[in-house]
Parts: sequence; C-alpha cells; structure tokens
Amino acid sequence: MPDLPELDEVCHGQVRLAALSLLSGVKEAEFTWLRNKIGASDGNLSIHLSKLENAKYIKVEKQFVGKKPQTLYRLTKKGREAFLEYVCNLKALLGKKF
Amino acid sequence: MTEKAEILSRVELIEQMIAAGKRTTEHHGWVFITWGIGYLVATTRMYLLPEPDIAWSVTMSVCGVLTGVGFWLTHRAKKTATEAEHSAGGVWIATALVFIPFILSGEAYKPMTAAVVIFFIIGLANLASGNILRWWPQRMVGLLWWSCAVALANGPKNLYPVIFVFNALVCQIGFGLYLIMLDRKELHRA
Repeated sequence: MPDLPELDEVCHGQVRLAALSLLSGVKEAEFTWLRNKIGASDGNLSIHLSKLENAKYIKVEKQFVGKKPQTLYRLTKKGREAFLEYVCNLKALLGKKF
Repeated sequence: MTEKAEILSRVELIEQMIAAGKRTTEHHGWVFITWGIGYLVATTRMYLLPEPDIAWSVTMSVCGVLTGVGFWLTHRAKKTATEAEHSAGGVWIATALVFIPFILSGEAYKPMTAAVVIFFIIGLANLASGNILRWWPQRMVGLLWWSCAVALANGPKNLYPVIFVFNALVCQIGFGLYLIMLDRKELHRA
C-alpha cells in the first residue's frame, strides 16, 4: 500500500485554513475583512495569523490610512505552495483512504 | 469526529471560504447613480435648455471627475479586492480609455451615432463585467443597454428622449439602487 500523505499541521487548523483559502483568491486582505469572512474573534484570528506568519506562509504589512492603522495580509509563494500541497494531500487522502 | 468527516469538513471549509472570498463586498452602486443623474441632467439640458451642444460634454466630464474623486476616496482605505473585482475593474478602466480618443475626435461623429456607439460599448462593458462576476443582473443590464442602442439607431427621433430617460432610470439609477441594497444586505450578514 502506498504511503498516505501527511497533512501540514500549520494549514490544518480551521481558522488558519480558512485564512489561507481566503488569501488564495485575493492580492492582499485587511484584518477586518478576514475577520468578517471567517467569523472569528480578533484575538483568536490574531493568534492563528501569527502562526501563519511564523511559518512564512503569509506576509504582514502595517500601515496608516490617515490616522487609522491598517494591517494587510498577503499569501507568500511558500504559503501558496503549502496550501496547494495541502489540498492535493486532502484529495489523495479522500481517494486512497476511504 | 471520524477522520473522514474531518477531512470532508476541511474540504467544505476551503470551498466555502474561496466562494466567500470571490463574493464582491462592494458593488459601486453610487457610480451608476452618479452617471444616471448625469444622463438625466444632460438629457434635460439637451432638450429644454439653451446650448444643447455642450450638454453632454460638460455633464459627462463632471461625472468623470466625480467618479475619479469617489474612487480615490473609497479605495484609499480599502485594500482587499478579489481577482474577479480586479478583472471587472479592468474592463471599466479599458471602457473609459476607449472613450478618450472618441471624445477627442470632436464632431467627427453625428451626436446620435456617437450615442449609439457609446450605448453599445457600455452594454458590452456591463456584459463583460457580468460574465467575469458570473452575475446575471449585470448581464441583463448589458442587454438593456444594447436594446437602447438598437432603439436609438432605428427608432423615430421623437423617441430619443424617452430612451435616454429610460436608460438613466433603469440601467443606471435603478441598477445603482439595487447594488446599494445588496451592499447593505451583505453588511448585515457580515
């Protein structure tokens, strides 16, 4: 029996996976946009986005628009590859295991 | 949760989020309303007020400036845009660029010929945008613009003001109000 693929733990978390899925379709996204789409609390989302940032899957950019701070997130090349590999592994698992 | 159920839940989550990301969060209803009002003002000036020749050039230039300022103000703060939004935006920018040499050509075209071409191009832009966003209401608006272009090209002269007013009220102001209503609904859902 061929080896079953391992799922990337960083991608596998629900909030992180939701964030990666959303970021895969946009050039960059604001924190509030991600929060509204995912439906997570500010604190919870921050923790998960930090994990993605530590894994270098996303890039964070902080800036000011007028006097208001704005945090932008962008999927990195590494993040996109990891997300695509995760999706491929999910497909493989569904096909082979069940 | 079994392993299979967990994997399926992840697949479902990915699909839901990608779909949610694709949904446009801003429909720019104000742009359609601005241009609709501009059309009504220009039509009124053309038929009822003196100096009908400058009615369209002046009013449309004002609408162009207002749209530019409006976009600058709203997009200064907004950074998130889906790929579909970028593509649809590209269609409208290309449409605006097409009009520049057209307007600069001055009196090379008869006013009604120009109106037919403009209606046709805007109909095309609406259809292209509707196809990119896979959104049938905008495709319908595109077809309505084309219907107006055909009516202008073939209809009797006394029907022209009716076509302009219908176009402004339905294809622009009505559609713009519909978009604003959709934005409010999405805001409540978020």
